[in-house]
Amino acid sequence: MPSKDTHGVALLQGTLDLIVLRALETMGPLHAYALAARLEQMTRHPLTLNQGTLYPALVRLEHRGWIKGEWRQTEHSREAKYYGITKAGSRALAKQAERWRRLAGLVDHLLSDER
Amino acid sequence: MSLIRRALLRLRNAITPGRADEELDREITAHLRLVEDDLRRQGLSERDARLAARRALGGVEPSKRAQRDARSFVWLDDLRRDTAYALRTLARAPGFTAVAILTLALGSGASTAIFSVVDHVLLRSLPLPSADRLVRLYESNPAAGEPRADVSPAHITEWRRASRSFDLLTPLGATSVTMVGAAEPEALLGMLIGPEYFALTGVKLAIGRPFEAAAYESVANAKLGPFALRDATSDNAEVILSHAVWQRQFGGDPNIVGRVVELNGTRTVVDGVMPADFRLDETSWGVADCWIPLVESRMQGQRRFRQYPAIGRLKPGVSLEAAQAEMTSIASAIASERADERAWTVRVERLQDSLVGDSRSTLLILLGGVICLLLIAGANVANLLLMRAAGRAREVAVRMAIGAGRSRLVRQWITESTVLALAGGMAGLALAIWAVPALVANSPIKLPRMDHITVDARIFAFSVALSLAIGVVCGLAPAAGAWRVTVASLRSSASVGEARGQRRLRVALVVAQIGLAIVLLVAAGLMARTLMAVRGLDLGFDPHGVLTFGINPRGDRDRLPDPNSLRAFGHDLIDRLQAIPGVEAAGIGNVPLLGGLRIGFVPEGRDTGIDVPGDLPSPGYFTALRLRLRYGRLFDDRDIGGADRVVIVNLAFARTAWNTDNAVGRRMRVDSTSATGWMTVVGVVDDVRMATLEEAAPPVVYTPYLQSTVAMSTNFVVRTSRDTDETLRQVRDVVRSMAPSMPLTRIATMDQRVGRFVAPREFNFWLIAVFSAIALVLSAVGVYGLMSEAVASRTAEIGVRMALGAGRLEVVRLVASRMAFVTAIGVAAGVGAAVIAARWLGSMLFGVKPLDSVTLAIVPLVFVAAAVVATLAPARRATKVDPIVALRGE
Repeated sequence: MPSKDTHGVALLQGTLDLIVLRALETMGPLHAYALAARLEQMTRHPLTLNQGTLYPALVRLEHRGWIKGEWRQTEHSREAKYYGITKAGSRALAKQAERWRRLAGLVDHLLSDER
Repeated sequence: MSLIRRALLRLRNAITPGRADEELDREITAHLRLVEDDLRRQGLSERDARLAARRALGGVEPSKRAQRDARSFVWLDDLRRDTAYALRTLARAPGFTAVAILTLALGSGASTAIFSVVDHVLLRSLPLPSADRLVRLYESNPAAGEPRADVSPAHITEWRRASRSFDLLTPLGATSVTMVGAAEPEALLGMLIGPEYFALTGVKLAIGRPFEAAAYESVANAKLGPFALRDATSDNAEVILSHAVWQRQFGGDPNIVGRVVELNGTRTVVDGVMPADFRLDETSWGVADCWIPLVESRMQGQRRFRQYPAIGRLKPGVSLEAAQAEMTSIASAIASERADERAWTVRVERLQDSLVGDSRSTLLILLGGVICLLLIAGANVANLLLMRAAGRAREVAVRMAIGAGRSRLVRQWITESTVLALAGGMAGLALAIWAVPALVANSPIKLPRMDHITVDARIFAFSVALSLAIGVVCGLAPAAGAWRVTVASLRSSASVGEARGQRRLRVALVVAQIGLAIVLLVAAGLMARTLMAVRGLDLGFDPHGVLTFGINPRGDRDRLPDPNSLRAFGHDLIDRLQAIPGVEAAGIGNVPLLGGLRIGFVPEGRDTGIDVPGDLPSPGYFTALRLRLRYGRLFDDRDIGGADRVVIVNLAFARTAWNTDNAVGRRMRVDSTSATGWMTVVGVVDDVRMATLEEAAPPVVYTPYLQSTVAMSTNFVVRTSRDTDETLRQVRDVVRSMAPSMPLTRIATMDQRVGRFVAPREFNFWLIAVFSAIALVLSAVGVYGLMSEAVASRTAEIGVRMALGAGRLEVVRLVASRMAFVTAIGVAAGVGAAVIAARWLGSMLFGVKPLDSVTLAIVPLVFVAAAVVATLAPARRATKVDPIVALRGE
């Protein structure tokens, strides 16, 4: 059974995909480890993210055709699978980001009203 | 688009997970390596770096599983793994698997076979355009025992004029024609058709064209009809041949159109050939050899000759009820004008219903039988699975201990039973593919479209759906048990036995099995009793050693131009037949079970006529059939044309007409305007079963064939003390020597004719008998399984009892009382259900009541005997229990 997030900040459904796409667009092709490291830097919150939880997101995005994996050498001449964003991925990111902003704005608005 | 892409990728990964798994291994290994590199650079030792890398990844295996779940359909992946697991476990228990599959194969094979017949005959619509609007019309006179008579052409003409419900209304007819001028003389079954026939059937000729409108008015064509006309005409008659006749008689000649043959002595032109696959059995006559225009105008005045089946097509939007209402009012208008039509009305039935007729209830009863069988088989498999589940409770507990979810385990059970059911279903399908043609070929009941019955995609789908349903239902029982197993049960050192509820469920399943088997056995018993009753019927004649055949005199018009020459020919033929070695008697006459023409007779002292089957026999007819003379004398050489007119009647006629048995000396006359004067009864014979075997014998009047002025029977009966085949060869020789181009028709021994009426009952009996025999064996296996398990689970108890001094007899009694308990409940439930179910058998029974005490007494005894046999082995095992071993095991 897939383990549930029992600690730290639980990521909202779909958030991880968005973050991964964003990272790949700004940083260029990255392997899973670099991506995990980047995510840890990027997020202001101490996101306790198991690096392994990236894999389902990567598969999902690759199946959608938004990213593409490729085996390359690292600077320390280790082999690693680098993921790069595709054109479809960029388009999807733009659309998702817009949606996300609108949603976040709405939620923010609602929450401030409640208060 | 991307949705489909994703689904396809997932599907590929679910089916072939190997490649993606390798890729993932490689990626995760690389990932770990990178983390390790980083950590080492930060100064960690190699070992610490490796551990820290794994921690960072959050566990390698869960990561892999999460990725796997994302890249393929989880359930599909699970299904694949469950199926593989089920196949492995089933392969490890080959005995169990074989028994389960065989059981299911029998149940689902029988169901699939019967369902394919039911589907083709009852459920699919006729292969005709607008089949759902086709109806059959009957003239009906229930009071005279004719609820479904055919229609007179005069009435068809009037109906066409008066009715608004139909866009098509046409008569059909059958006639026997002799064809000369092709390869060799042959008697053909001709179908007489109206001009609407081609629109009705939608058939397109293989060669040639349909008849033109004029053909249905042509005098020449009228000659081919059932009542020969002797108009001089130079026209040619017309015919369309069946594909088979075209091949057989003309070698498939492509220039067949326009060829001239002689049909019943009339020059006839071939207009065309029907397609090979055109086999429409509109009526019970059989498959037509040729089609002939039905010239109705020649028969206008003859209201009494109700001899044409009529088929109509309702206008779109007209209901059957509306058509029936309209036809009833038309019939009553006709009846009010004519006194002799007063009792007649019209009956409209869907064509499909009328074709299927009584077979509907027979088929549904058979279907009910196989469903019982299927339920019994299913109960057996569920029981086997339950037993296995009890033995595997430990395995379940272990799997739960290492983290398997309950719902996964339930799915696992259901997958296993479904795999089993599908295997059984496929074996059953193979059984059905083999059995259906055998069933169809051996069926004495000819149902519409029976030739077309095959196991096709639709039946395949049915079989698969059935198997899936069985699999799920059978899997639910052990799955329910898996819910109750807890990891805690691993701690107790005692074996994890089955729960009390499970045990009750197993007993209930066996009780249900016994009940269903009893229902089937009672049905088989009732049908066996029916068969005995039918076989024991007093036919009124002795059918053994009697050969019957007919001739078609119109095939040889040169030799037999009129009734007088035909009578002379018949007289001569009888003399020669009697000279054949071994022939004891030969005569002319419509054979019993074939029926005769209905004629009205007015007994002296009454003013209304009685419509009865009339026959025109020769003296030898009575001796050949061994009809029993009750009073007076039989016909002899005195009873010729010009002598005093005499008749013989049967007891039923004597009682109906004069309320007496001995009617010798009474007089009657033919009910006709051209009265022929009084005829005196010279003899009374015993009743003879006519048209159908199981109806009470009707009143019959026999008139000497030599005193008939209008017609003559063309059927002959020959009693021989030798082999009927050998006699038939000699009969053929005799007829050929007298008339070379006159083929024999309607050849059958009297035993065969009787057999045709008994055969459907025999067939149905054997089907139900086989079903109930299988049911008996399967439910006995169920009892065996239950008792074996009972002995196995109570070994310790038995050991204690034996240690305390119980003898073998007491141990056997212990087992037997358990068996008696289960069997008694099952038998009681079964008999109760059978009493209710037997009422539905009504139409299949004859000469036996549904609550037949003999059957209801014997069947439980049969089952108890089977249950005792099934308990022998477990009981013996119980007596072999060694107290010391049993107690040590505890």
